[in-house]
Formats: sequence, structure tokens, C-alpha cells
Amino acid sequence: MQAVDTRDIWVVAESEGERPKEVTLEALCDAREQADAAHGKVSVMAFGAVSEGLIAQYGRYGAERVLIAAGSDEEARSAERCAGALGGALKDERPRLVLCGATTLGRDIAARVAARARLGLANNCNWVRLRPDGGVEAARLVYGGKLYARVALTSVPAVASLRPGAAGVGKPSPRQPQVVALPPLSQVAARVSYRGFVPADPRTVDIIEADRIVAVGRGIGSRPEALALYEQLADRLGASLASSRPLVDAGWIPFERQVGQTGKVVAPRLYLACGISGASHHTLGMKSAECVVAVNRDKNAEIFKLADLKVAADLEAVVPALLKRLEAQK
Amino acid sequence: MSPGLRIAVCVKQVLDTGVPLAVANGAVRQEAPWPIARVGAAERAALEAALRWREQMGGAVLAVSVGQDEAEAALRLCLARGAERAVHIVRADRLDAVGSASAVARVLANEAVDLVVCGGASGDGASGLFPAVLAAELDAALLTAVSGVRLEGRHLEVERRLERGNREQVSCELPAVLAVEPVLAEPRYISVRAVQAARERMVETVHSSEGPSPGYDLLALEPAKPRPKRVSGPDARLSAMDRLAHLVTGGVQQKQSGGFTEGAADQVADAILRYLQDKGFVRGRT
Amino acid sequence: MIGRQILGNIAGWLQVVMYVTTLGSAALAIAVLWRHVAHWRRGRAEGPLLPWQERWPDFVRRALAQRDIGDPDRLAGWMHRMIFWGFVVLFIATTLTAIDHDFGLPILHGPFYLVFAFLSDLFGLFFVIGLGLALYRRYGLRLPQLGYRRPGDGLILALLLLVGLSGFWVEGARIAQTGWPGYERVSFVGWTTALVLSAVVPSGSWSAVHQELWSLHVVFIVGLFAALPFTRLVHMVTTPANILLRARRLGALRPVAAGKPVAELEAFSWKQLLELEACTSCGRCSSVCPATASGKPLSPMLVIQHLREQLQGERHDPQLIANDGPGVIDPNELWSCTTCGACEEICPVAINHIDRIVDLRRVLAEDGALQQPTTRALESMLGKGNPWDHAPSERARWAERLGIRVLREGEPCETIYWVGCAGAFDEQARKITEAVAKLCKRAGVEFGILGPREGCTGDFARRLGEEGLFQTLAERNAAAIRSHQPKRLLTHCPHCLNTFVREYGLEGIEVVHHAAFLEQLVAAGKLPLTRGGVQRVTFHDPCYLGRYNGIYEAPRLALGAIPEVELKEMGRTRQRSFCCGGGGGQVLLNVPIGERIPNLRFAEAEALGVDVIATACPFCKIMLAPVPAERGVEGKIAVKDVAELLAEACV
Repeated sequence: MQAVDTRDIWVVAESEGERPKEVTLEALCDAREQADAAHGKVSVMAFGAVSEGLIAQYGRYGAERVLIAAGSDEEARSAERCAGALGGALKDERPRLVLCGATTLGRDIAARVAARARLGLANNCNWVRLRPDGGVEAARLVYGGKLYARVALTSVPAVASLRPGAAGVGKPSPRQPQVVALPPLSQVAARVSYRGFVPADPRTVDIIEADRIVAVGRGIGSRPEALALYEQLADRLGASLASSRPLVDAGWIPFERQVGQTGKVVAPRLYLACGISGASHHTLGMKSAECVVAVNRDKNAEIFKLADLKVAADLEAVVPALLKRLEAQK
Repeated sequence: MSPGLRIAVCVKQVLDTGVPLAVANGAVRQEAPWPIARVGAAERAALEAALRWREQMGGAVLAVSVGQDEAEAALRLCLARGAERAVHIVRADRLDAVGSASAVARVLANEAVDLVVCGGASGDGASGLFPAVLAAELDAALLTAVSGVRLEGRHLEVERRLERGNREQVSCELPAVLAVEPVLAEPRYISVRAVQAARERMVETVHSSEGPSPGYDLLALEPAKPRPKRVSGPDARLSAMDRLAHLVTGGVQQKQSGGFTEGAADQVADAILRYLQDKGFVRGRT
Repeated sequence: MIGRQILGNIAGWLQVVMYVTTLGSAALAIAVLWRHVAHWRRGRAEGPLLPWQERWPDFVRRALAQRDIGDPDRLAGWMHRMIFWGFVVLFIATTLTAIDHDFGLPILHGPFYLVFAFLSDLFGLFFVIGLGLALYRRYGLRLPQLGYRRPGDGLILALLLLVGLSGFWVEGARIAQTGWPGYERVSFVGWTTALVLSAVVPSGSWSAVHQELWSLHVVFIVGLFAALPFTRLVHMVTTPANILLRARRLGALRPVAAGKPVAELEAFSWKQLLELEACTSCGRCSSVCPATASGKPLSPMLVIQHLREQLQGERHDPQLIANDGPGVIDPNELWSCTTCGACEEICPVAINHIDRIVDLRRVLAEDGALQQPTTRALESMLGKGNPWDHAPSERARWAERLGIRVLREGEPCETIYWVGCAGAFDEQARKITEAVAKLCKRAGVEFGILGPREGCTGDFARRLGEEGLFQTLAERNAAAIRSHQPKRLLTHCPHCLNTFVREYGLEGIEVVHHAAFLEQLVAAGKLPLTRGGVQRVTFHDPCYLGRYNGIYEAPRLALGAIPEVELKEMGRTRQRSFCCGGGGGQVLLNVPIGERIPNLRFAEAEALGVDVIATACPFCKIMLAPVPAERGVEGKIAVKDVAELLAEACV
């Protein structure tokens, strides 16, 4: 392998409105650390409508340069266009590493760029390191996250994506970034045309896809009127309502919202289990939830084995109190 | 050339990740009394959708799989479900998406395929490279996270699954490579006897001796472990014990440890709100 | 001289007409009946019949003594016996009369005639009374299970009754016409009829009246023969044949034929097609079916009858199963079945409803016409060896805590405790496992478990129609079991028990249910039951333990040995036990129609006034245990396995 000179790192940024996504900052901090140790430069590649505020944020966390391929929000969501813009930029300049956040879009962009230009790609990494000799090593999650594949990426540039939540956002390392305008996204040759965006309605989305779920069980009370409180809670949290089996059997909730062995398997980021005992035929349907908050009067309830936040309290008192606080947040 | 659409479905049988895995002598070993493997949900949906499109538009469905014995098994499933042909590309390296995709692209280029359907990221390697390399080498449009498709001749109206249940609508022309989501189609159950009966059907075999992926060297397979997470500083609002725990564990909360949150309703509600804010579900904390 | 005047008063031409019409209509009836044989021959081969030593006594019991018709409806039993034996005796009487007249053998003379006359009148009376009862049940009481009407129901009853009545009228007229011979008093009904008739008939016209009544009688008989093969009375032939030619017993399902199962009448065996015509639509099966009772679409009688209608051309549906279009049977009817066997147990004519339903389920399964959550469960069974997606390595977690021996490959072991999927993974059922383990330890019984190498026995898979899956699971398990050369296989699950005993073929290995095993230990004094606590207990007979395998007393003996236990029996007990709703793969299906079956069973126990419902099947416990909380009586009534109760009583 020929000696590799550059120690520069590019970070592909994603943002939500005026704020960079947390994973972008995580990648940026990682890139900054690695580049500092190897005397390289960090550039941020940003797509779409990039405001001064965003540029400042990137600068705050260590970007020396911000490359912008401007465009509309839809164009910025098109992995094809972003990968095209990125690929175009990489023809002129070759950093050692291009680091994305391993979001759906980030992984997509990374794969497209790597495929077109025949670059080495490590998707879904827990860490990516620039070695002193210029090599890039990464540990990516394979087999459903059970195992690491430790890999060496030898192409220049190498492409990698970093799993959200693995690295953490560190301390700022402020810079005044240079802004470079790249050809806009609209100029990228794209075969796929944008047609429209349909936001999910937590009230109607299939619970399999729901981002957040408020789940009710028998512990919420003996009258169907008790449901109204939880519907409010779900609404306030932007969550979908789901249920364990007993309430579906009793006819309070339709079968499409049943979580469990005979119902659906859900994988939301938030699962708020209210009055659910957590028998295995239920937990089978929700054990992949990222954050589980369980509220149950009975400390021996099985659900607590899976809960990140174990609330042993009376639902009738706690839920209205929680609702009040959520209303105040509005 | 037969009328209708020529559709290729790429399938792969992978070890079921719901079963404990270990690494022994650099290879993956499953802790199970018999090998537990499956064709992923996305690929099952891909197969199902392909067959429905064939019913709708006419044409033929070709199933392709790369690997060794496990590829045979995946192909028998496709034949049992109703694919016309099955091609087994024999290849040793399981985790090499680029090499596999290149080999598949070579086969499909000869077949003048209109539409290729596959899963987004497999149960083992999960690089997402397979569909991307396929599309690049076949010079076809690439659509990922496909959750709905409407075929209108050579025009596709596609629904893509974004995060949090959101959907995006896009369109393109054939030829196209679709990396699909399980929600695209509910797969029909394939009985054990149907798969056994499919043993009678012929599977075409092609040997592939592609080199390793460019720019990618697998050094080792190891059990996964979390990396030490950076913290921007412990939260001043937590108690001294909590702040210490936060520092020591790197802020990573283990599901097994952690005591009960209890007390007066207001206290408890506060604690829940804080948790929700910490995790980013509710605004109010930076 | 004592004797019978036969046809003496009947004009020659009328006799000719009688012979021609009766023999003609009889021949017609036989010809039409023969067409039914063509129906049956559409079917494929049946396997071997049951051994004759089993079939003939069964035939005597069912077809001759008719014990099953009267259980539990005793009135119906007597009604049918009267009609049946009335008909038989009258038929013999007529035959003897014909022989006497046509062949000139003087049978109906002398003392024999007196006996003959009396008996024919007696059974003739039974015949008429029985028919009166039948008409009353059908049109007076309007019993719900008789709601299914078939062509000619009323007509055939009416004709039979009229044949019987007119027979007496003819007899009465003959007695009067022949001058009131004194010995004819033994024909007490005829004599009385003659007395009644003489009130309205002028004394000179007996000859004419007798001839007219005789002609009327012939008309009714001809009408009867003509109508017979087009009505349910066909069962006179088909039902005894069906009983005599029994081939299946409750317990093991028929093996599947080669090739892909199709839903066509020709796919059934000739015996199964005969069975469709042997069913008299008495409705007993539906009256005990838990699916019917809970409001599900399934009525076992209608499954059989609708198929019969299709077979006989009374209906012309394009397919047998209503999949994407009209058909004879709706898939939900098939999926509602719990395979409890109550229908087969109560059926007086030995129809095998369960084989039928599973045969059709097999078609759906092979076609892939299954829904979630069933498909997920089946795929999990194939891959991970249990329906609930648990990794096999999780199976022995409970055992680690209790220090139970988990067998290594090839390790010989005399007693293997087969824990089963529920016993390993379900919280409720795990308590049973722990109780059994604790009791065995206490009694000094050594055993080992297979742990991760156990896989689902495949009972549910088979009953859901996935035969290939069942075979795969069975082969895997049988090999694993045999590798340890056990003498005994202990299980707490009647489903596992049934499939091991009847469907696996584990020669040389004794398969024993925990209730029987523990009862033996108690009886041998190895399990001192010292701790009591006043409890009113009722035992819920699991379908697969009781009806399927005849084990009723062992659990009761075990429970009775617990101090201070008062054992009460529900109305539906032993062979008539009411299913918990979990069998036949129901635990893995979702048929959200009607009431939940365990709620019905629970209500029965609750009404009895008990503290504990004792079960001996993990699925009965899984189905019944959540009900008390649902009905707000948690803490008042508990659902516990026999092993748990014994373990509580054993210090």
C-alpha cells in the first residue's frame, strides 16, 4: 500500500431545522479528536438549506471548513443527490476518511458513494480511528449488533458511518470555519424524482413503526373510560396508543394495537408501559424498545426487568400529574 | 424475451440473531443445538412483492443467492413460493457485500432484468452496500427503504419509509434496484412440505471467484462491547451518588441495575418528565 | 285353529298391485341407495379398519343397544330405541307373514302365532309412541339442535307414523272382518282398534273397509319406500355401515397423503364420504362444542352436513373452502376448532369430525393461507424449536436455579422429564415444572432434562395442518430422546403425552403423565402430604388427558390425598369435560369472534363455589389463570396445577 499523506477527515452533516443532529456532533467530535492527533483538518459536508447558525455550530465543534451543496429540504433528503454531490466533491479532493452518522440517510449516502467510487465502507461503527501510519480502522456492528467486525479501510478516502449514541458529544473545540459553496443539489443527475412527504400521524400509524408508544394494560382500571387519560398522554407525547392483550380481549382497544405474542412486535424509541404486568407473551412484543418506562403499582411485576425507568407508583395519581407537566411544557 | 417484467429477487439466509452468537477461531459460532438460520423479513417481503408484481404485469421471477449451503436453502424457499428460476452463486465469503453484489450483477446483466428487489441490510453484514453496488454496476436507479410500490408500465411510483413512521413519495423509471422494508408485503407462509417439494426443482449454479472488496480488510470478529462514551459533564441537578455513577458508567444506563422511582405523585411525575427530557422525547433540557 | 288370515280378504288384482308397487318402490329405493355408493367411491382409499374385536362390540353397543343415543338425553334414547326396534320387529313380522303366504310355510299358527301377535302389537305400539315422541321433539318442543332441516324430515316421520297407525287400523279391521276370533285378544292394540272402529263402521261393510284400509296401508308403505332414499332415513343403511367400518380413534390424526393436499371431495377417503351420509344431523356434537357455545362460526354438525350437501348435490359451491370466494366451509369455522374431541365422544354414530377439520386445515396450511400470529409461531417452531421466539439456550434457565441435571449429548438417563415449551418459557406453566421437580426430588426420583435440545413436540403444528413441520420436529425430538436410552419419559403436558404415545412411535419407552406419576408416589407413601388448608377444589379434566387418553381418576386420587381438600365435580366432567379453549393450536391463533372459551368454563367452576380450579395441563392453566383477575375475583378463586397443590401440601 502506498504511503497515504492526507490526514483530513470529512464529516457528512445532518440537521433538524436549526440544530445539527446529535450524531453529526458526535461524528464531528470524533473527527476533531482524530484529526488533532494526526495533524489533519476537519471539513463538514452539509446539504440543503444551511443557515449561519448551523455553520456556527459546526465551527463550534471543530470544523475548519464547511462545504455546502445547497438545495431544498426535499433535495437534502435525497440520498441520491447528496451522494452525487459528495461524490463530485471527492473527485477534486481526497480526504483520508469520510464520516457520516449511521442514520437511515447517512448510511444510504455512505453506501452510494462507496459503491460508485469503489471505496472501502464500514457502516454502523461504534468507533473509527485514524492510525498514526495513516491507516483507518473501525469496529462495526454485525450480526444484529451482537458482534464486532474490526476492519481496516485502505481506500483513500475510506467511508464510515458512526452509530448514534455510541460516541457521545464532547466538549466544543471552536473554530471559525471557511465556507465553500459546491454546485447545488439540483445540478446532480438524479434518476429518482421527489413527489411528496407524508408525515406520520401517531394516531393512525401502524404501531410497528411508531416512534413512541404509550401502552396500557389491565392496571389502568376497570372501566373503559379510564382510557381517555392515556389517549391524552399519547397525544401529548406524540405517541401511538397500544395495549397488552387483556384490554383488546375486553373490546376496549382494536387488535391492531395489541403488542405481544399474538399481537405485533414493536420497536419504538420510547415505550411507556402503564399498568402492564409484563408477562412474557407481552414482553416478547416490545423487548426491542429503546427506552422503556414502566409504571406499575406492583414492584414484582415482570415488566420492571425490562424497564429503564422503573416507576412503582399509582397510575391514577401519577399520570394526571405527568400530563399537567407536559401541558406546561407546550 | 418473454413479455412482462423480468424481476430478480436477491435473498440470503443468515444466522438468526435472536440466538446467542460467539466467536471461535475467528469464525462465528451459534449457541444452539441445531443451526438456526432464516431468510430475513425484508427479503421475504421482497419475494412476496415480486411475485405479486408478476401476477399483475406478467413476466418471470428469478431468485438469486450467494453463498454455500445456506444459499441453497434460501433458494428452495423462493422456488416453493413460486419463483420460476433460481440461481446459486457459489462463493465462500459470507460477509463480503461488494463481491457478492458484483457477482450477482454479472448474472443479472446477462438476464436483461428490469427490476431487482432485495433487502436493505442483511441480518449478518448489514453494510447496505449490496443494493448500492448492484445499482451502480447495472446502471439502474436505486431506491432504498421502499415500503410501497405502484407499477405503471416502466414507471414506478414508490413510497419510502422514513424515520418515525413518516413516508416519502418518489418516482423513477425502470431499470431499478429496490432495497425494501418488511412492511412492503406480508409474506405468505411457506410450509415445510412445500420447501421439501421444491427440492425436486432445478437450481442453476454459478461459481464466483471474485477477489476481496476494494479498500476493506476484515481483521477480526469479536464480541461487541460498548465504547467509552464521551460526556460533556455530569448533570448538576443529579445527586452526588448519581453524578458519580454517571461518570463511572459513562452515563450509559444498564437495564439490570437502577432502583425504583417512587414517592409522591408529583415527585414521581417530575422524575418521569426529567427522564423523557434527558432522552430527548420532550423539550426543556439542552 | 289359531292362525292368521293373510290377504284373505284382499282382491286378487289388488294383491298384484301391492306386490308390484311395493317391490317396485323397494327396488327403486335400493337403486337410489346404490347411487350413494357411487358417492363414496369418489373417495380415495381408507387405511386399515380398527380390529374387528373392537368394532363388533362397539357396533352392538351403538347400533343395537343404542346406548350412545340416550347419553345424556335419555328420552331421545328411548324414543329412538322404540322406533328402531319397533321397525325391526314389524319388518320381521311382515317378512314372516310374506314367507308364510308366498312360500306356504305355516309359520303363523298355533302358540307361536300368539307370541308373534302379541310382540308385533307391542313393538308396533312402541313404534308409534316413539314416532309420536319424535314429532313432539321436533315440532312441539322445537329443540334447537334439531333446527337443521333436511328434505322430507316431516314427511318421513309422518309416513312412518302413518304406516304404523294404518297397520293397526288394518289389523283392527281384519280382526273384525274375520269375526273377532278370541285368540286375537293377544293383539291387544289391534283388538282395541277394532273396538273403536266398530263404533263407526257398519257391521256389514267390514270387508270393504278392511280392503280400503289395507290399500291405504300399502299406499303409505310405497310412499315410505319411495321417499326413504331421498331423506335422512338413508341413515338406516349408512349409519350402521359407518359404525361397523370404523377406522379411526380419537388421538392420532390420519397421516397425510403424498402430494399437495387439495380441498376436494375426492381427497377424502370413501369412509369419510360415507360418514357424511351417516350423520343424522342430531346436533349432539354442536351442543357440546366449546366453539359453538362461545359464539364462534364453527358448528361441527354443520361442517359435516354442508359437506354432505355438496356431496349429494344439494349445494353447488365452486370450492370446499371459502377462500377468496364462496365455498362450503369458511376458514374461520376451521380455525375455531380446539380439537377437544367432545363432538367425537358424544357422536352416537362414530363420526370423526376432527380428522375432517384438520384435513381441511392442511389444505390451508400448505397453501400458505395462514395469518399472523400463527405464521410467526410456526416459523419460530421450525427455527428455534418453540412457538415464542425464545432462543433454545433459554430453556433450562429455570433448572439452573434448582440444580436440575441437564443431560449432555449421549448421556444415558432412566427417567427423562420432558418439560415442554410452556413449562420452560411461560410463567404460569413454569410453576408446574418447578413443583414437579421439587416433588420428584422429595420422593427421591432421579431424572434429567434435555434442556436446549428439547424442541416443541409438534402437537400444535400438526393440528394446525403443518404436517411437514410436525415431522421435522418429531424426528429431531425422537432422535434426541432415544440418544439417552430412557426407560421412562415423564411429562406434565397432555399434548406432549398424546403425541408421544400415539404419533411418535417411541417403542420401549414408557410415557407417563405427571398426575399419574405423582399419584403413584403418593400412594406408595413417598410423598407425605401433611400440610392442608381448607380448600374446595374442582378438577377440570384436560381434553387431551381425559377424552384422548382416558386418564380421569389419577388426578382425583392425588387431589383427594391432600388433607382437608373437598373435591367437587362440575356438571361437565370426565368424558364430558368442557374445553379450556387452548387446544388445536388455539394458543397460537387469533379468532376474535364471540366469547372467550375459558371464560365459559370458569363461570361453570365459579357457580360451583370453589376456591381452586385444579388442572393437569399447562395450557389449561395458561388459558384459565388470567380469568379470575378479568372477572374481578382474583384472590377468591385460584387456578393451580395438581402438582402445585401437591407441592404446597408436601413439606
